Amino acid sequence: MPVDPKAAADAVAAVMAEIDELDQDAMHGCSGVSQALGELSKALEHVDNSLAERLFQQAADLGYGSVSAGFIFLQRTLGELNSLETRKAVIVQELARKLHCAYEDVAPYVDAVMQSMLPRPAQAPIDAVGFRANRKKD
Amino acid sequence: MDPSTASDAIAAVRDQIDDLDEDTMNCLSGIHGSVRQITKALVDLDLHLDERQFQQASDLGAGVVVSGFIALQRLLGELTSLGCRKTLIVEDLTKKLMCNPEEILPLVDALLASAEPSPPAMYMDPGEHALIQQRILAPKPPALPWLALVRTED
Repeated sequence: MPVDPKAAADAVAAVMAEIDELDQDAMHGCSGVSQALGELSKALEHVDNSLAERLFQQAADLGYGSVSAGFIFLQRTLGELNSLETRKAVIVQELARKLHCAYEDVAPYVDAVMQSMLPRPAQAPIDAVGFRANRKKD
Repeated sequence: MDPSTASDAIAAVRDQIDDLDEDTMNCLSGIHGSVRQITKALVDLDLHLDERQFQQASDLGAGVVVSGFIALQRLLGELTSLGCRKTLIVEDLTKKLMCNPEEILPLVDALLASAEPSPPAMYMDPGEHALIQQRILAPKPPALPWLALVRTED
């Protein structure tokens, strides 16, 4: 049975502080991953350039240094992103339990209030803009 | 150092030098492959971030990026040991010819195709490299001012 939008809005509003916190953490998490991607790419470019110059020792040293550092940075930030996904799943599960509906039915309502979920897919399953506007009125 | 004696001594270890050269070329090709594997995974990961598919991004980091990184580290280790093999060959020649390694090294390098510099494009596909420059390395607008603008709407 599809979830009642009004009930969904109320339930989401009740955990809005939690969602906002998660949203902000997700923004920071994404920015961390982007930074790590940039650092690892730069390090790989340096390896590429060192090999082209036949500076093999330098390339091997880069493997110990910046490549490893970039890799570890990326894995840590991805780990953070993973735990954010888990936190979001817990919020959605709680809402689904309260609303007696499926996880998939309530997840779009949580996504709609999260700025870190933008840009959304071209065909959103619900009217995200309308949902936000209604939430403001409430 | 007598050039004729030097070339005789080098000719005597020519097989070893050729083996080393072939192994180095194979190793370089392996490094090329793993650098490409990682950079491609990084671009895919960035695309997942764009789509906000965090779980897929995380899975990619645990899969392809890790295997590429391990392959790269192993191959860089092999490259270091190939460097040691070259040092041993040069040291042996130095002992035989009673000269400095600096005098022998250019003569050995002249026989190694793997010692000739090559353009970096050999190691990274130009189209892919441009994509990485555009997607990952290009400066992005700072996240926080944008975040502040978005959040004032609420």
